[in-house]
Amino acid sequence: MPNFSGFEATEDNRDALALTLLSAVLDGYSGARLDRALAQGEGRLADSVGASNSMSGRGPQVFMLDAVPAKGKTPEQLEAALRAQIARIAKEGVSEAEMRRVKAQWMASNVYQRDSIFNQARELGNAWIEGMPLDSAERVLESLNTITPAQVQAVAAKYFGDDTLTVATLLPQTGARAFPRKPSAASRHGESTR
Amino acid sequence: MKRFACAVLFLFPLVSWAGIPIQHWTMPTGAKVYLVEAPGIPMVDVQIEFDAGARRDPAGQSGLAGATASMMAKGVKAFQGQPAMDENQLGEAWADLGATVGANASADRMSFSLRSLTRPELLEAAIALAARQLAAPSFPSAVWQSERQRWVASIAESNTKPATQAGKAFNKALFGTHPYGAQVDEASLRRIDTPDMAQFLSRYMLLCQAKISVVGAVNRAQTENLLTQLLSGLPRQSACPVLPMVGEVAPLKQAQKLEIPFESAQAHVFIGQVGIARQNPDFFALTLGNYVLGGGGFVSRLTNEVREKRGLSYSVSSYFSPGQHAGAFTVGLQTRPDQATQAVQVASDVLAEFVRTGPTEQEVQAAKDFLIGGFALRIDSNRKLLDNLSNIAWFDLPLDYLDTWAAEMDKLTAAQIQQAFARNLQPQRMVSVILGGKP
Repeated sequence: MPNFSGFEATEDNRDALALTLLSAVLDGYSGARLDRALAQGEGRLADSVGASNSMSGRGPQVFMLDAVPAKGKTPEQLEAALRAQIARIAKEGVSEAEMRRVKAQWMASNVYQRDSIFNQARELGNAWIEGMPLDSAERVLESLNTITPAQVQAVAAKYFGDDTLTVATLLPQTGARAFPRKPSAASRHGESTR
Repeated sequence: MKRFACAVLFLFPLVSWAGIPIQHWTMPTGAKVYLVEAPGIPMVDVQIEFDAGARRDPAGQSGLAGATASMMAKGVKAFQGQPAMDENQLGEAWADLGATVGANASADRMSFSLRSLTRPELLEAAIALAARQLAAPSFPSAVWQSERQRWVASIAESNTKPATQAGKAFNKALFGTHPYGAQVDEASLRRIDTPDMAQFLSRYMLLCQAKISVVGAVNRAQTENLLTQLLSGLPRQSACPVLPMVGEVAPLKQAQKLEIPFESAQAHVFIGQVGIARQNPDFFALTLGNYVLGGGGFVSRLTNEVREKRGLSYSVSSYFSPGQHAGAFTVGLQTRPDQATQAVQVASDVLAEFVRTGPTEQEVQAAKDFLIGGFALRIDSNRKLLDNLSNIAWFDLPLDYLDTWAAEMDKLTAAQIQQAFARNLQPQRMVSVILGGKP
């Protein structure tokens, strides 16, 4: 996904913001699109579901959709359902009400984030290391407010092709497979035996 | 923004040195209010707590308090001329306001929280919506059925983890049939239905006993107005009922060693016994002493002996979990299965030696330096202040608790700490759980 690298009005910068709003429309509040479509009610597909866009850093970014299948449902069904939600926005767009809602949330969370001194330091440090101005939190908010529903619809159509898609499935281990012969280097417990 | 950030950075240290003024009063309903004004950020946090924690779960229905809390956001009935709302309408309404509500049940308390901006039109709407959610939850049965399925699935997932299993065995050995040892499982959740939730609330959500903590950019008059509206839909009690006593936790009669087979690469170890209630007068001495014993990370005695000298574990720690009743004292570590017995022996020896002889003067000084020096970090945000305030409210601690905290720590001596440990811990009567490594 494109990286948000500053406040110049480039296509990448605008798309990175629109993708962030897309993730918020999908999963920014309880009862947002993904939860409602996949994780509610009788016969639901998922026990939990989520979407996030990493937006800015020092290189290309990742838009991630995730879900845990409900009993009896398969990862393939979840993948199809998650992709259908993106496709639906690409086709039908998002409502003005959804856009107002996720922007209001962003504005409020911007205020709440000031409640942590640590977070203020981290924000300044992040801005510094990414070559962004030190008032970028406020300017991101201003920039997000300029993004239109049509732009969110456009990024849903533009960035979700198979050529940049990675699908990972974590399978439950049962029986003897759960007991590795040697502690793996990647596991915290393995490391703890030293 | 930059200027603002600097202003906030400097605000909190100044406040902590000047003392934290807590305003306290009782509402006509009997609810007790604790307020800290924090005008720096245009936001407010409210937390309302009732004696309706999991310790009051009826027998066989473990999880009822938690289920009730989790269902509070799943819908409201039509109330005082306002229409009913389902969980999605509520989710949208809260998102539109940029505000959040939460509800959860710990062992002792049922807590409701609200965080809102203080811009008047937003705050008023948030208070009105939260009031409906508190007074008229609809507890929709279909939603509970699916919430229960999700909960059961997450319990099953968690049960595949050795840490969960070891923790369960440890708790059961410590608390026996006391509510602190009750475990939520599929069977207990099956016995819970939505009418139980409404009944649980009507029984235990007593305004006359509520403790309310508020931190934010509001003064006392604003807080009084806000709370009056927020609680307006809750029933008032003319005479405050006395809730049934919950018994104390019985101390362990003898040592117990549990070795439990489990397919895990590492053995999970817990050693401990019933610790202290929050009102225990030794609370400060045990907090300071535990830093030396096993709370202080790399400088603790347990880490030094178990990890640094012998390489038996990556981490090892000890902690008290004081509540309304005596909570656990726990030493925890993970180690390679073939050295678990040795690790338990070393940790038990360190503990016994510490209870017998206590910390050295140098260790006491180092612990004071760390804890007192780090005190500012315990109150450096509204969120942390709210946690402290609700603790003061819940345990009836003095209003100057935060102002005298450092002095209370500072006056402790090595001998007092040793005596406190000897009074409260009996190394010869510990439970040891070793789980894993022997499939």
